[in-house]
Amino acid sequence: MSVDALRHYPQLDAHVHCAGEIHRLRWHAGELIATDHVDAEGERVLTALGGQRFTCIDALEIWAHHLDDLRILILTRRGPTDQVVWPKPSSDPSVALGTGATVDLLGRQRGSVVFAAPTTAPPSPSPEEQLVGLLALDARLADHLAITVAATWAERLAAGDVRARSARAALTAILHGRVTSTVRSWLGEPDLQVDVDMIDPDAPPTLTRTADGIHAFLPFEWIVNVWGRNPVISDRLALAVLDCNPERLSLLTTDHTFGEPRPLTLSLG
Amino acid sequence: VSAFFDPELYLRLYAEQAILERSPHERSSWESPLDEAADALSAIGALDDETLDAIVDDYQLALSLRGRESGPPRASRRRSSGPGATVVTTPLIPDRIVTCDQELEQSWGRLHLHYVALGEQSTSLAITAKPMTDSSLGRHGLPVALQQVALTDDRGTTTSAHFSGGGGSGGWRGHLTTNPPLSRTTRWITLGSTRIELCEQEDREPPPVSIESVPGRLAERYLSLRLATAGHLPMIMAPDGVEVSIQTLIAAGALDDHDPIISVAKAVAHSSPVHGLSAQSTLPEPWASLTGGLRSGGGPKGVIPIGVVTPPIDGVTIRFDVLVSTDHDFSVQAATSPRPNSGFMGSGNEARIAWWAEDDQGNHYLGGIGSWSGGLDFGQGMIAFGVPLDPTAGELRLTPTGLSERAVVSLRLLPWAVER
Repeated sequence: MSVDALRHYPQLDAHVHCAGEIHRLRWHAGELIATDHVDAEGERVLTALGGQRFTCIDALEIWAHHLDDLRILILTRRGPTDQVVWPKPSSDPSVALGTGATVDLLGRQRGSVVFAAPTTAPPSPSPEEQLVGLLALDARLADHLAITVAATWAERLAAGDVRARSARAALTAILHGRVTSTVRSWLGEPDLQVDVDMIDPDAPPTLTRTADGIHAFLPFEWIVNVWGRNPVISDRLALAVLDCNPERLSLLTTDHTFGEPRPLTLSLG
Repeated sequence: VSAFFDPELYLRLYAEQAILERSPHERSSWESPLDEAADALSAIGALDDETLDAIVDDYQLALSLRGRESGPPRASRRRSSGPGATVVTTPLIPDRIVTCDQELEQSWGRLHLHYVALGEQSTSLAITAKPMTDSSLGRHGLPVALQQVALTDDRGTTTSAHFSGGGGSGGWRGHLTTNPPLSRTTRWITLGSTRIELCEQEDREPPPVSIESVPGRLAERYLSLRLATAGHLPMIMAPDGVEVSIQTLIAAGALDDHDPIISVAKAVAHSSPVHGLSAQSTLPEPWASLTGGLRSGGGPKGVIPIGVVTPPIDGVTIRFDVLVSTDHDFSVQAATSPRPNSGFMGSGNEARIAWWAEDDQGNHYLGGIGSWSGGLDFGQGMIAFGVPLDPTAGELRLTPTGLSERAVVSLRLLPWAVER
């Protein structure tokens, strides 16, 4: 259901400076589309050959290399209280996306991850700078790209893919961060101890209150199916999606009493 | 390491907690909790360095995007200086050390020459300068004549020496260093118009050197080493970082949470170098010596040539040149190849070296990098011990200590060549 779940997300348009104009980068069902470039593929080739740079085309190129990059889930926000300060993108149309996003690795200080307008021919951005440059284009787009990556890994986990088995520690930690942030925010307890067990997709999700805090048993796909949309509805925390179609969304939810989870159905549209 | 311990998951969950931390501590730039945890996992062989580096760097970047953390990326440090790097070690040859203790009248004042170190790479004169006339002073009060000095050896080679050191209106202390060096076997040198005879005062044999295994369990050894290389000076123990190391070792099953080393480590980490610990008597040596509060004054004054090179300890070769003792502290001029991790200098991927010393009166001393120059493959400078030597001690053993090996260089202290 994970990649399918992306189809139920509303499309997102991010507005970016591109070649001196404001263009739209559209995220739709996990795809990134440069809507203002009719021949995006041709422009990618021309850019690679030294032609004019386009932020939109750079973004597509970078995204193509990071479709399953778990670093996107590490860098992006865990929840509403996790404030990420993305560096301001350069408005210089002549440089590659991420150029000058020299993360000052010898002295990362508050706000020191900056895009600087180069005064001479800038060096090519590192893969790390490119990735930060892509995510810095638009915070909402960054979230959607994170959900897209999560969907890919949720599918791999469900399919027993060897890559998912190798990345189990990373996936567990990524789930842990998002569950913890969400539960703390939901309960209004910012220092709450939260333990998370990553369960198989077909195992029943549960959330229990213990003497130490909260113990959550959730699958990785919870990030895609629940977290990426709205995990808290009517003061209830969604544990899973039971059914989703254009007319209605049915969720398995729990409340502050942590009793038996029960369905909550929302009419859409 | 416990079979039930997943080091990668541990480090990643630790990093996630750091991301979600509401009130992160203000930390010094050389103190990264993620690095601390990764170093501990690396030391006990729980996870390979490449994986550790990648995890730490990804999360350091995530933290920096939240206005937190600092420090260079771990992976690039490893590429430039770690086990996978192409660090070329430099063979070290003992310097010829000639103690002088001469007062030289100069046109601008008095220059006291303590010793001359004639090495393969440089020649160095340890001096104290006391200017007598203001007109001779240049910027910052350093005599102009000292900023560049011509030195000549008995082969007729003349080269310029440059001053490095510190001081002020009361005088300057430091080194005049030439690079390239003068002849190592020269019988005299001239400094300006003053000829200085270089005659060894006695036929002093190089001190004996031995290599020993460091006793104790791996986790215990790591924690002790971590404590002794915590900050940029020997007695800045950085308690937060030590706490992270302890928690990581316990989680890994490498240390029992009731292990006596833990209470010792915590007491040492929270100790004050000036005031010591109220419970210092309960600490074992060497820590009890360190936490008793700084002694002030009373140290023997003089210079003892060492001129010895150790075999590698944990891959690091050390050259000890000279011991300088003053009323209030003592220091050792040394060189290493390659560069070790000694507190703020170096990275987690380089061999940690703790600069321990002990005397025959039961005192233990811990040195730190006082000044240093050089690169990854070779460096030299001063190991500062910050406290005076016990004047009654007849022998000092320099015991630079790594995770698994330590060298022991035994120095006879008496009689001191007392300076004027």
